[in-house]
Amino acid sequence: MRVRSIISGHAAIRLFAMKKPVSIPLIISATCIEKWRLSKIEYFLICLLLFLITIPGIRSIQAAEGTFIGIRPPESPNLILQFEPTVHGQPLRLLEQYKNPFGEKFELSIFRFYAGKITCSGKGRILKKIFRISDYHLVDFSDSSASLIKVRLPEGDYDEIQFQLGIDSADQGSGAQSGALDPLKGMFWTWNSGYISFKIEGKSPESNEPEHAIAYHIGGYRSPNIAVGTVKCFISGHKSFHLTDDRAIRLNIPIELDRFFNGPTPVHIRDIPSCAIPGELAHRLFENFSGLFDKIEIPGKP
Amino acid sequence: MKAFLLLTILTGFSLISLKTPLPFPVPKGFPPPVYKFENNPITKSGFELGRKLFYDGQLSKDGNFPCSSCHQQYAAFSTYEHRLSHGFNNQFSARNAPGLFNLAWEKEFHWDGSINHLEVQPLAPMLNPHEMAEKLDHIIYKLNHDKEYPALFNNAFGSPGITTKRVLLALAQFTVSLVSADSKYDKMKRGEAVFNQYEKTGYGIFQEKCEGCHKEPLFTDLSYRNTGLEVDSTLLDYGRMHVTGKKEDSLKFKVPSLRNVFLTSPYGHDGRFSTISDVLEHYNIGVIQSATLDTALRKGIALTDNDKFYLIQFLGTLTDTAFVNNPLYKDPASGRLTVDR
Ligand code: HEC
Ligand code: HEC
Repeated sequence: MRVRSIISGHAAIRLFAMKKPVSIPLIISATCIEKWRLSKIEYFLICLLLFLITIPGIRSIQAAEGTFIGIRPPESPNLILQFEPTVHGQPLRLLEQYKNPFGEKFELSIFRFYAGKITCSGKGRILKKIFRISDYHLVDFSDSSASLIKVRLPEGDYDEIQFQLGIDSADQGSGAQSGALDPLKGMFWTWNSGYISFKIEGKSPESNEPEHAIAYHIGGYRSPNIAVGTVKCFISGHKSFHLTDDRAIRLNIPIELDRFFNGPTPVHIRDIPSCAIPGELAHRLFENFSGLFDKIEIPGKP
Repeated sequence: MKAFLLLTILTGFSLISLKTPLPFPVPKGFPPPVYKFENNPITKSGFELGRKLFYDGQLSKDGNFPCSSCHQQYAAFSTYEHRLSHGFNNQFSARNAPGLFNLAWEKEFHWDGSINHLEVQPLAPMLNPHEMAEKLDHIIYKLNHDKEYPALFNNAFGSPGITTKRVLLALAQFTVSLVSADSKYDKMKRGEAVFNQYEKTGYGIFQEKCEGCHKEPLFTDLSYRNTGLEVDSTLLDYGRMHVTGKKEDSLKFKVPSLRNVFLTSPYGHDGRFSTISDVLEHYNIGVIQSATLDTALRKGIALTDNDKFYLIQFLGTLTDTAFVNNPLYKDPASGRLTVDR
C-alpha cells in the first residue's frame, strides 16, 4: 500500500511536468506491483528506468512546442526580393572592370550587405511585425543564391517595401550568433565588436593602398557615428503589388552603384580608397550607400 | 537480469549528468550577474568542452598559443610576469593580459571595452595576427577532423555539428564559470576570518581613497577612467576613444578588478608597473594632468609610506588561493605540456 502512494505521487509530479499523456508506463508499473509482487528496491529501479526512458520524450515534446515541427508545416515564402546591382546601367559582374562617374577604373571582388527586418506598406497601412534575430539576411553577390531574399508577409496590396541595412544596435551585442550573423561570414569586426553593414572590396589603379586595393567595410552602431538604418523602396507610378498566401511573387530592387561614388559624399577612389572602421567617414559613406535603395521594379516590365 | 537493469540505469544516469545544468551560485553580497545564462545554460559537458578548447593549441595557427598560453591559472588567468603577452611568430599583444574571473558581471571586455559580449571575445585573440593568428574556417575544420571533438560537441549541444556559435558558447561556459570569491576578504565578510590590525587599517584607507573606482565587491565599478598615465610613444594607445571615437574618452581605460592583484603583475593596461608599490607611487606623485584626467585624481592621491604599507597588506587579502588551485579549472589533459613563457 505504501508503495502505491509513492507511485501516485511520482505520477502526479511527472504528469505535471510534462502536460502530456504519459499514463502508459504508469499503468504498466502499477500492474507490475499488483501482479509480480516486486520488492521495493526492484520497484524503485524499474520506476527509475521508466523515468529515464521518458526523458527523451519530454525533450522532443518541448522541441516540438517551440518550433511547431510536425504540427504545422513551415510557411513557404510569398515574396522574393532580387537585388540587382548595376554600373552604367549594365549588370555588375565581380572581377570585371568598370569606371566610376569620376572616370576612375575599378573592379570588385566582394560585395555584401545585410538587409533585414523586411516589411511592406500600402494604402497608408504599415505592416507591424515583431522581428527576431533570424530576420537578418546577408545579400552576397559572389553567391548567386544569396543575391535574393525570400520572406513571408501577410496577404494584401502594397506599394512600398521597407528594410534595414545593417544590424540594429539592440542585436549587435547579443553574443554568439549563427546563420547570416555567423562571424564566419566575414561581416563581424572581432577587435571592436560589431557587424559591418556593407562590405565592398576590390582593386583600382587609382588606389594608393598596398596592391591598389579598395575596401569599404562600413558599419558602426554607436552614436553619433551610426552606419545602420532603414530604407524604403517604392513602386513607381502609383502602382502596387499584391501578396497572396499561396503564391510567391518576385520583385527586383536595383542598386545603381554609380550613385554610391557620386553620392552626397563624393567617393574619389584616389582620395578615399578605403574605410574600415566606424567613424564619421563611415557614417557618411553609409548615407551614400543607403541612398541607393529607393526603387522597386516588377520583373519583365520596363 | 538484475545486473542488466542496473547497468541500463547507470548508463542512463551518466548520460543525464552530462546534460545536467551546472548551478551558478552568486556569491553572497555580489550583484546579479549580467551574463544571460538562459541563452547558454551551463552544463557539465559544455563546461568541460569549453575548458578543453581553452587549453587547446589547435585554436591557434601554429598550435603553440592556446588561450592558456596567455591566461595562466596560477596567475589568476593573467600572463605571469609579462608586460605584454607573446603571440604568434614572436609578436607581442598590444596590451597586458588581465586576469580572468568574475566575467559574469562584466558587460564589456578588454581594457577599452571594445568587446561587447563575453561570447564573441575569443574571436579577437583567435583571429588577431599577433596573438593566435588563426582563421575561423581553419579552426572549425581542425576541430571537425579531430578524434574527440565531434562527439564532445554532440554531447554538449544535443546534436552533431561544430559551428562558430557552438565553439563560442562552449568557451563562454568555461570563462563565465571562473568565479573568484573566496579570498580572505570574502571570508572576513562572511564572518569566517578576521583581519589583522594592518589589514584592517589598510581596508579603511582603501575605502576612503580607492573605493570610488575599485568598488566592492568586484573591486571595479567597470567604468572607463584616465588615471594620468603618460601615453607610451610606441604603443600610442588612447583606450576608450578608439571605440567610441569621442575626444572626451581619450586615454580612458577600464578600471581593473583588484581581486588577486598580488598574482597579476605587472600592472596597468600596458603592464608598465612591475609592482603594486609602483602603482601606488604613481597615484601619489606620478599623475599627469590632461583634459580627460579623472576629477578624483586632479591632485593625485596623497599616500604616506605607512598608507602604502597598510594598503598593500589589505590588497593581499584579495588573493583567492582556492580559485588558483581549483582543479575544475585545470588543464584536463594532465601530463601534456602546456606552453609557459
Ligand atoms: C597572445 C596572448 C593571448 C591569448 C592567446 C589569449 N588572450 Fe585573452 N587577453 C590577452 C590580452 C593582451 C588581453 C587584453 C586585451 C585588451 O584589453 O585589448 C586579453 C583579454 C581577455 C579577456 C577580457 C578580460 C576582461 O576582463 O576584459 C578575456 C575574457 C580573454 N582574454 C579570454 C581569452 C580566451 C577565451 C582566449 C582563447 C580563445 C584568449 N583570451 C587568448 C591575451 C591573450
Ligand atoms: C579615478 C579612479 C581610480 C581611483 C580613485 C583609483 N584607481 Fe586604481 N586604477 C584605476 C584605473 C582606470 C586603472 C587602470 C589604469 C590603466 O592602466 O590605464 C587602475 C589600476 C590600478 C592598479 C593596477 C591593477 C592591474 O591589474 O593592472 C592597482 C594596483 C590600483 N589601481 C590600485 C589602486 C589603489 C590602491 C587605489 C587607492 C589608493 C586606487 N587604485 C585608486 C582607477 C582608479
